[in-house]
Amino acid sequence: MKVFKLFFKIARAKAGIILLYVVIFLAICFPLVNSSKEKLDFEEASIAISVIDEDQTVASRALIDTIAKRNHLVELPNDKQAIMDASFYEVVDDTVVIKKGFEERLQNPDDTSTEPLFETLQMRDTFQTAMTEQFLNNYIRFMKVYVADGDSLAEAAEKADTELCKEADVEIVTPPGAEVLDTNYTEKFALYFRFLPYLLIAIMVNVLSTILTSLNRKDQKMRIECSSVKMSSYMSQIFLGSGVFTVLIWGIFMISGMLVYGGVYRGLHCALAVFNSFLFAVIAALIAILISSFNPNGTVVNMIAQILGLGMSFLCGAFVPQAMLGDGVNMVARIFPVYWFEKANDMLAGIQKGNLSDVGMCFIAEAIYIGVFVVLIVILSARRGGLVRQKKVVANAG
Amino acid sequence: MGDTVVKIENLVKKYKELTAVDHLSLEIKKGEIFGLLGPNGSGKTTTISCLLSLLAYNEGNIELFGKPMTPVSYDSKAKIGVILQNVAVFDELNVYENIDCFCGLYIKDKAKRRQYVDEAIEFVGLKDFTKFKPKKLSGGLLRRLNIACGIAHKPELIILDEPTVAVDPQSRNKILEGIEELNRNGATVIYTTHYMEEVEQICTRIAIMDHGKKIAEGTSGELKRMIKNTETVTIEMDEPDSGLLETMKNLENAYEVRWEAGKLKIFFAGGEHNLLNTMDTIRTTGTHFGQVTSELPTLNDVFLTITGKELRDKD
Amino acid sequence: MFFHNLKYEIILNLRAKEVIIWMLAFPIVLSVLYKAAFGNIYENGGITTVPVAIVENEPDEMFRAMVDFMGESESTYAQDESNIGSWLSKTMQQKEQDDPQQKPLLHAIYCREDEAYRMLVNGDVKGIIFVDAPEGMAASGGSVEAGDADMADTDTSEEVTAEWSAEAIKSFLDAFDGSERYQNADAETILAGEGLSLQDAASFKDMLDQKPKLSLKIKSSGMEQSTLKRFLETYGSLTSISGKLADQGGTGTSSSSIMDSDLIEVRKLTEGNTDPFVTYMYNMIAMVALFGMTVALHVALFSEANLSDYGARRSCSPTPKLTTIMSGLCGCYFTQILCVAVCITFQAFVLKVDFGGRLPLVYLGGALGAIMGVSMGFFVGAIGRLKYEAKIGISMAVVMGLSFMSGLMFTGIKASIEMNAPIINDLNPVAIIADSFYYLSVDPDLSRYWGKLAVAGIYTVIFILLGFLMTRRRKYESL
Repeated sequence: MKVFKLFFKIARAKAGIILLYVVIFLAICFPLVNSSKEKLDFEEASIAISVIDEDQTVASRALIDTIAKRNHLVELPNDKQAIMDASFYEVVDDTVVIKKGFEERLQNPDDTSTEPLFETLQMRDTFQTAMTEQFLNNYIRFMKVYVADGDSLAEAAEKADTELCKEADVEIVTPPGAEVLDTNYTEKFALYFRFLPYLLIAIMVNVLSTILTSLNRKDQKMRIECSSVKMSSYMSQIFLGSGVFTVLIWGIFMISGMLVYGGVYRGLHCALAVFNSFLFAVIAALIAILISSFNPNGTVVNMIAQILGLGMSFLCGAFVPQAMLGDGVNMVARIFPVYWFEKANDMLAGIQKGNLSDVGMCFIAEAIYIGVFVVLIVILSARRGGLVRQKKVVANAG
Repeated sequence: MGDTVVKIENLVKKYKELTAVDHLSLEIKKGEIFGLLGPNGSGKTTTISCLLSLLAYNEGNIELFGKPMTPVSYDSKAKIGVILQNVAVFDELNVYENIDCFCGLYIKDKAKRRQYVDEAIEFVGLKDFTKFKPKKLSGGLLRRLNIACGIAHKPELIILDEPTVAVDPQSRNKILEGIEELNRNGATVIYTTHYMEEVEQICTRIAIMDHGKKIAEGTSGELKRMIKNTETVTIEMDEPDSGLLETMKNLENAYEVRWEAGKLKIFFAGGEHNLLNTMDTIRTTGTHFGQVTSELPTLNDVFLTITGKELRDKD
Repeated sequence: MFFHNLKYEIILNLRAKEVIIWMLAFPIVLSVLYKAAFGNIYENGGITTVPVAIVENEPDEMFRAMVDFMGESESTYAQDESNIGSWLSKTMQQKEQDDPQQKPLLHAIYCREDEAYRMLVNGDVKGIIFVDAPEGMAASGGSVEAGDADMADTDTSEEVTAEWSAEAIKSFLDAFDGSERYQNADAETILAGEGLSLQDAASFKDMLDQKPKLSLKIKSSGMEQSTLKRFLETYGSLTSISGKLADQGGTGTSSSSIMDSDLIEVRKLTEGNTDPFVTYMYNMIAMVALFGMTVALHVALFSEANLSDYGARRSCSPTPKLTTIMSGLCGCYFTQILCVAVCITFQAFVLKVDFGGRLPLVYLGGALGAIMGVSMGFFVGAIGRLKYEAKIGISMAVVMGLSFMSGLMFTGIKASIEMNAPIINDLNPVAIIADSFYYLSVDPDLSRYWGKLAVAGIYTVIFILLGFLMTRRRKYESL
């Protein structure tokens, strides 16, 4: 077991990097997964509005109160750049400026001026801005109707408030015939698994590839070839090492996942998600082995790890949910294993529709990748062995 | 001759517990090929690094060309050529570019540099390989490139730290000849190695180091004279009886007789015709014997005698 | 000496082909992937069509018209349509067609309850809207609404109905197409203009009175579900206003002035690129710039005797360390700026990413980012005796971590840091560069852009100084 031991001796030197990744990952996942309770009642995706009150009157304040009741009121400094940033990053969806003279004009039933009462400062034309405009218009309409009816401003504002705060009747239902969701595997916790592919690829390619590359270095390999260790034993020890390493890394993530989960995983869907992640850990390890057979140097390995990790994660829905990506993208993404991992994960968490047999299809897709990668590795290592022997030309004229 | 190029006084360098160099003093004169001989770990490379002001040392003074050596002694540095133990060339640059790259650290003038680089290539015999990248060179050629990078600027003092490690005999001879040629052209050479043959072959003066201490210094002959043994005669034979051993011990100049592993060894101190005397005596006893050899002492014997261990451990 | 070293530094950097190729391939491949993944998401201003099932237990043509106005619909069964109903739908759809760019908000499928549930389970629709008869309507003919109760009492005569309906119709027209084409017309003109009979007008009144009970059933919360809810509420408000206006019919102000929806002046905050997806591109350039760290790690390595044999050789030469380091740094600046420039050029000219109108300043920001990254790498290379490989790993992890915080993986991270601890964004080198591009694109005022560049400059100076301080030690305790 010499080679096996050597494998882990090299691996131990990389423990720091692995730890770095795990800690960063946990630091990110904890707040994301535990940010709020699982939503069981309907929770309205509120529209974030900031208001700049130039009028500063009872009427304008009444309006702000009404806005705050139905929307998420964001306090922003009256500064164009601050509003610009908040709007760009979608912290606010719309900014409403209540213009000077707002109260005065509302009070006057004969006001037919088409001068705007509001100004909205928008970054983009969205559903939220359209809704805000609609909301403001309806408010003014109600106000005018009531004022025209002879109500005082305060009375009108109160009535308009009541009208606009009427909420539609919404109910979350479990439709008859629907597959009951496994509430042990929540949409929130599924985030942890959703990000895993990036981490697994980054660590596997960064660490496993480097270990294998240094084991594969030409003189080392030649030394082994000359030693009493049989090549087949050498290869099998390396495979064993990679296997144990993969299980170890995967195990670390499963255990740290329990920290995020808050205890041992429960339920069938959790078990399937864990299995799904194991399949992917194997895929990531095989990718790493595949890369190492090209003998890249340190910087290059890092670059490859990031391209593969980031690229596949984006394209296949690890960072942005698959539902948000276009159909074309999802079509292309099918050729990457991450897609099937994410799809299975989404279905298990109830984010995408699909039953257990659909999940099984994803597992099969992942298994096919494992097979394909193994075949590729075998072919490559066989061909490389031949090439090295043929083209060793070294100048020697000493 | 006679000008002191390097002067080391009482140099002490400690790594935590370990004292790597222990009160070492050396003086190297212009025109010498000075050999620093010692087993691995005896402090040769550390001494060189202190000499070059790469390493901080705990005690002692170092002067080069009559001036104290500091990291900013650029005048002195300009006159030194260094070839360190490990090959330090860039894989991305070819032979010519590598030499030019390092030579450029010393020589500003482009035309002059081109001439120097060409000469260095000629000197180490890499003319056919100027466009080769280091990876395509064999071990010996790589060493020669490494040397060319260190001497292209025609330094007055050349420091070579084990330049022949892992080099085939042909290349090694070429390198040693080159060093002698550089010396003939006026360069002072400091040469560290644990190959005593090399030292014997080219060095004008030798210091032997062990455990950071200088244990002997002098020319090859002077060193050998330091030990009692001047000649060892070895005779292949069956185990002798005590009478024969006694007879042999009574030979003129012989001071010790030992039989081990089918060989009788007789050690002589001084005197002449020791081999002839031995042959005569053994013939009179009528003993059967095989091959007879006579060996003159080597630096290894010197080292062995002083330290009680072989100079070259299982290297 | 300097230029001799610089020449070889650049040759060395450029000949490290693998690194250069990946350094270029990395952003190019990634930005193509990004473009593919996000290029279309915001094309419609973030508005997506929400599929919804509608179960009509009590058909309501007013509501149907509203649905048609907000989107497109299909039906699994034949829908009866009255004269006034088709008029409503037509009027509203006309309005919708005015703006063909606009993606429809809703895609409504009229179907039966079981079918609706099936689609909800499959995820084919996001919610089911049930249209039921108003509570208590059948029993009393009155309504829970006070206004409706008044209505029921006030009149039965056809004349008033016509007057009332015409006013209501006018309100609708004003509200929905804003044409004010019947500004001062009387009831008859309006009805005739729209090709409606008095009977139609009466049924219109009934429609307004009817106020069906609407309810929404969904499977889970979300933006799309909220859209449906808001739609129902807006519908409720509009019918309520129309009803009240109609009550006031002919008295006081004209309804058109009330329904006039032009009281909001919409002001765009910027003429620049408002697509949030573009921040991925900004971050990617910033990340590539910061990858200069890995390129520059060798600068200290190659000039420090304790770190490499090259360093030992250089330390023995009469060329001062400052010169070798400066030339090494400049060589790295050159190569890294080249890489960043290729990346920007590719994004700007091949992927047609909109950087706003100030492309030269984008290159400037990228170049300064590269300089900052290289300087950081020089600093990291100078500290400690960690192995080169380990330093690469650490640099990479640091760059990826900083990129994450700047929103390379999720844009939301940047926003939440910006709101809660802006100082982190101000100090994060990746965010500094990414933000400078953002300011360049959206903010006509360049002061913030220059501010970011100034911070990058300060970082550069600090890292170079620290690096020099570390390498200043000229003798080593051990090699």
